[in-house]
Amino acid sequence: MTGVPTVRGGEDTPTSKERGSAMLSSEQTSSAPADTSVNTGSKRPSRRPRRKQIVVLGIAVALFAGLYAYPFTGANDSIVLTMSTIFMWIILSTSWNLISGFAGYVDFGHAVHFGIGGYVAGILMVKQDLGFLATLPVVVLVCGLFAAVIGYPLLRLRGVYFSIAMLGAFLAIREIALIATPLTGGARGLVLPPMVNRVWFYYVFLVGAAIMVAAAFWIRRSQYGGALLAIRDDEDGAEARGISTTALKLFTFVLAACITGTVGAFWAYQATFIDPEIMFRDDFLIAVALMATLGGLGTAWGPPVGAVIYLVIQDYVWANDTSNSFLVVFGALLIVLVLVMPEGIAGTVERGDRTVLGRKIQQFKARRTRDESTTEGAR
Amino acid sequence: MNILLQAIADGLILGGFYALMAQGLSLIFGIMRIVNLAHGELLIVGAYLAWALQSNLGIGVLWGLPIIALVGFGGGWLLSRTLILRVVDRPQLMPLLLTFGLASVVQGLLVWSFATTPRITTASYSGSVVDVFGIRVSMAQFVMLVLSLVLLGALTVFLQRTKMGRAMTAAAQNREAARIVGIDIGRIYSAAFGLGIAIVFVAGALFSVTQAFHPFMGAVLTLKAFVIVVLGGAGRVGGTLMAAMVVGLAEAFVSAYVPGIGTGLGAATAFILVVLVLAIRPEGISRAKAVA
Repeated sequence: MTGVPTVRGGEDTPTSKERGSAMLSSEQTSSAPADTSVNTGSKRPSRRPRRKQIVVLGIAVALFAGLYAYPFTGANDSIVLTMSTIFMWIILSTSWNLISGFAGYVDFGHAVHFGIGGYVAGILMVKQDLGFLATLPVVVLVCGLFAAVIGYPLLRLRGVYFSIAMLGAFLAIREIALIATPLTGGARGLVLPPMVNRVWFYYVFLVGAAIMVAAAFWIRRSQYGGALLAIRDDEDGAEARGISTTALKLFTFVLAACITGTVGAFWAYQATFIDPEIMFRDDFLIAVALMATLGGLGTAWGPPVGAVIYLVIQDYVWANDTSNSFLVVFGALLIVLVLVMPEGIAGTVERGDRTVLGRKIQQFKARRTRDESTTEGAR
Repeated sequence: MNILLQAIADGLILGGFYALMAQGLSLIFGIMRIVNLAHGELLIVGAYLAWALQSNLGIGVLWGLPIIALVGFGGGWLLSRTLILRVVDRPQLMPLLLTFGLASVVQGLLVWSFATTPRITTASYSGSVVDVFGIRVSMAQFVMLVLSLVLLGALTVFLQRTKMGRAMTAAAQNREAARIVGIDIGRIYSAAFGLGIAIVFVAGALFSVTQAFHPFMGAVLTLKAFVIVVLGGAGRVGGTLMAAMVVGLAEAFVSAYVPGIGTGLGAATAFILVVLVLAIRPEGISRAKAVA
């Protein structure tokens, strides 16, 4: 691939003008061939757990227990804060992955739910003197309602239109938060009752992340997750097979919105100060999109891995740097990911030479060894 | 009465600018079926280019336009060859994520090079005002409107009369058939992308004289361009112009008759328009096959 890339098509991938073409081209980032069930790789859900599953489960439990016990080792505050931030982003990227990675409806305005959740909690605490936990049901209700009202018309659109309309929703709600001064305090923001207990937030986010990742694994192997992947790969076909796509999309969207809104509420409580700029963050989107893409869209363990890698990079390279080098580097990273590793880490590991990077590596090896027998994967 | 006429004049001027801006996006979308999320950011690049030419080399905006257009075409060609063509046949999500990353990079680079202070390009005609029957429009806005219309006309002629333009039209209408009759699709794609970026650079340059701009304006402009493209249908210059006028007039009337809002709600207005338009035309652009 040293020359100028040319647009392929026609001879090896039957493209169709209709969007319902069930052809999976070799480059399609589908994690399951169209004719098999949606289980990862060769694993079949069976009654008796296999040894490998027991081992994986054991490691997961040990990890959770270790993290659960961690604050008792007398760790300092900043490390605890960093780790709870990582857990928070694991929840956020996993919830974004539900609608964007699984169902293929890329939500470019997901930060709007985060902001709404934070603001509902903040307004109720400041203006109504409610306790924080008492606001949570209202947060979930408002976020769910907002997502349902906005999702119902928008989710009937094709993917691209949905993405851009959500971007519009995000910008619009941020403007409204700035203008509605009596309610939101406008640009001056709101000051919440302080709650300085890092460890409490650590546990909240840890338990939340554990539940979220477990749920993602369950969804990935369930009928529900399979239906979402079917919507992503071929929506008309899924509809024809009897999947009620509209209801599933809307349910998933509302679910992701409620989770993100709840996290937003907790984050606002932790920050003790909110204004439209920090609650409706511009960098939220690029962060979440990068985490999920880096880990693997539509996979269960991709987003958590992506979130950890992203935050470690961010913490060690850009400590206290909120300038624009962040935008340049992470934007460039996203571009590179799309070009060489669109399946993400999880997809590349699980499906080896059926991915872009896998094929590249294979071609490289074949060139090195001048071996003609490795052409199966190059198709 | 005077307020009404003033609002109409403002709306038409906004509409002319929006039409030129959206035409770049429309061309790329109609031909490549790719939504370029970095569109608004690239417009701001064009604006900064005009500003830099004027303040560093003393080249006026109108003399600088050909240079800016050439730089835009070259940059667009390069972008399509290095990035866009690699994802053009992939699922929709990939070009979206790619151009989203691109938007982020461009914004960061702009902040890096020019900081965040708002700038405005000065031109020889900056101070003057066109005054017709008490409707006052700045000369810069008037020049922007006239040049936008002229360029849109030129583009229509290009698409209908020249070989390259007709090849683009053919590629937009039916890619496979165009390939069969011997059109080099890769070249057409690159040329279309280059042309789209050149148009949006010129729109940015004209815009930079009329009002202050800063690196963070891009997202809202992308959104508005997208609304116009959906409303007008991709690739059809007349449709784009009509849709842009509708959006421009709507915005001007809102800011003239709804007190205390001004154009601060630009994003919200654009979003409400998106939802309305898409509710009316759920297939969006895909229905409009014909170019010009």
